Amino acid sequence: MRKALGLSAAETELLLGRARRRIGRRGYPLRIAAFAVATTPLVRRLIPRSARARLAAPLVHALLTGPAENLLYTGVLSNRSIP
Amino acid sequence: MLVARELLAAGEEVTIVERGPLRLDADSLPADRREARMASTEHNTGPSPRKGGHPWLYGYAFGGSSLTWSGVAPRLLPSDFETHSRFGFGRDWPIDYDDLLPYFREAEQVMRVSGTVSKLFPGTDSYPLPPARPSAVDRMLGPLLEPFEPLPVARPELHSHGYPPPLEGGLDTVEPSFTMLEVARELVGSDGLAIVDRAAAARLRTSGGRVSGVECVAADGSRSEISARRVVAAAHGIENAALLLRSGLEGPAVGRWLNAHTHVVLQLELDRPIDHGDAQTRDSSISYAWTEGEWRSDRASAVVIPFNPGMLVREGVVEGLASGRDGAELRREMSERFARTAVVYASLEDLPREDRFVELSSSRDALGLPRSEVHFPPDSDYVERGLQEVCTGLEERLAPLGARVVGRGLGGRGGHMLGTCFMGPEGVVDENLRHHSIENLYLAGGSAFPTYSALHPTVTIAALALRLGQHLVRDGA
Repeated sequence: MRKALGLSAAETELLLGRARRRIGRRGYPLRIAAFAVATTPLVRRLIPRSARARLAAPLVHALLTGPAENLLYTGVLSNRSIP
Repeated sequence: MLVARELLAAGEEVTIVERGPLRLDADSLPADRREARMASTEHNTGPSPRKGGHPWLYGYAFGGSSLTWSGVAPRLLPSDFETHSRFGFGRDWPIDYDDLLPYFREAEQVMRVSGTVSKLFPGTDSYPLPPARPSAVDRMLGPLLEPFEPLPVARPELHSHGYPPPLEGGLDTVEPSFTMLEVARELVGSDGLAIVDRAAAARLRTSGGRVSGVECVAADGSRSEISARRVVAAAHGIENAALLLRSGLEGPAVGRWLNAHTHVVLQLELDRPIDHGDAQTRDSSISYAWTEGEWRSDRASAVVIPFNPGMLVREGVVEGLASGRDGAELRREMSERFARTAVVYASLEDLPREDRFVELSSSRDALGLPRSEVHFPPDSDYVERGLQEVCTGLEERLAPLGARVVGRGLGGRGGHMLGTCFMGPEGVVDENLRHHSIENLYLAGGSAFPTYSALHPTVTIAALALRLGQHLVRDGA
């Protein structure tokens, strides 16, 4: 997932931790699994583009949910907020 | 709450009936958990099956919809009270800006609104708090979008907490705003105040042109009746109308002329980057470039507010992932797009429309009360013309920045429920918000607006509530 989103290890850990707390234990594994299906190269060729978007969206929305996460992904916050 | 504040200060006795539980710390919770779940807080609005759906954003909670408010707190303009005389649409309010001026000032004090003196809103020397400093987006766009001024907001904690919310902090990224719980915390425990919480005002029992009792249904299904010398219904535009309809107080204007502002999010691609991290608050300035003019007879008035967080990238990321883009390359591209994209939202005024209305549904809610069926057909061409003018004007005014409108979508909508019990001779209440037929019934809240302005209604609602409270004190003396 880190590679699929182009994130560093620290960024991934931070965003995943926030997403996990936000969506809870029950919804989290399902979103991770759906994201993996949508972005794993060998698997994703077997499903249409629109379905890949539907599978990836729940986790991406949970990861990039608000202004702070948005600023992190776009590099604006990376220097001052990531340990 | 503000009506109660005035009455209690004058030594009157007040009983507040509220659907939600009395939780004085609810505003410390994330916004989506401030409304407790119980039978009396089940949202009872449904779309008309014939007219399509529409989101309605409100809170059944002690403190009401202030618990879901974002804190944007401009007044209405003087001309907003006189649209019929000045522009030939709608109805003039039976009161004008000057009548409300002292109550605007008081409401801004109570809500600790930050802002600066503006020629557009005469009669004010200062706001209780200074405005947030202009963001990088404000500094770039503002000189080209005059009149461009600090946005009055009632979220003063913001200035000390900084923006954006730190990633290491909690999950609640909603900036703290003023809520009516701040007033409630002062009132609870006052001599003369009784609170009936977890209960809906189901019906008004009337006799001889007066309310003789308020029938209440509690969350546990128990019923009670409260008697009072005077009754103030202070719910939102849908619920105030529904209470009258449930009480058999129909009339040609009751429930009619419902309005919710159209909020449109516009993405503007610029030829240079913006530092979206350089901001003190979510939104800090407002442009009145498309707000005021004789053209209001033909197209909608609009205010334009830069959105400091900028473009939310998640949809672009999803699309990129679905296309099989490399992660690092996608992030680079999205970051560049993000940096060169300014986001503004436009709030527009629609004409008063009789085909937007509330009526009682045949279905019932968890308390056994009829649901409110809301008819809200799409915006009129008047709004579309106003929006087109904003889009064209933004590209023209921002041409020195190479601006192009590259995205347009509906923003959050449905939190301003106005107009269903409007004030005026043809309406439901008089200039003191007293019902035309029921002499001891008053309607506070946005339902009393005869027209809607493009500006956010909350401070005007608060000013009307303070004015009503002081009127009741004088009237009862």
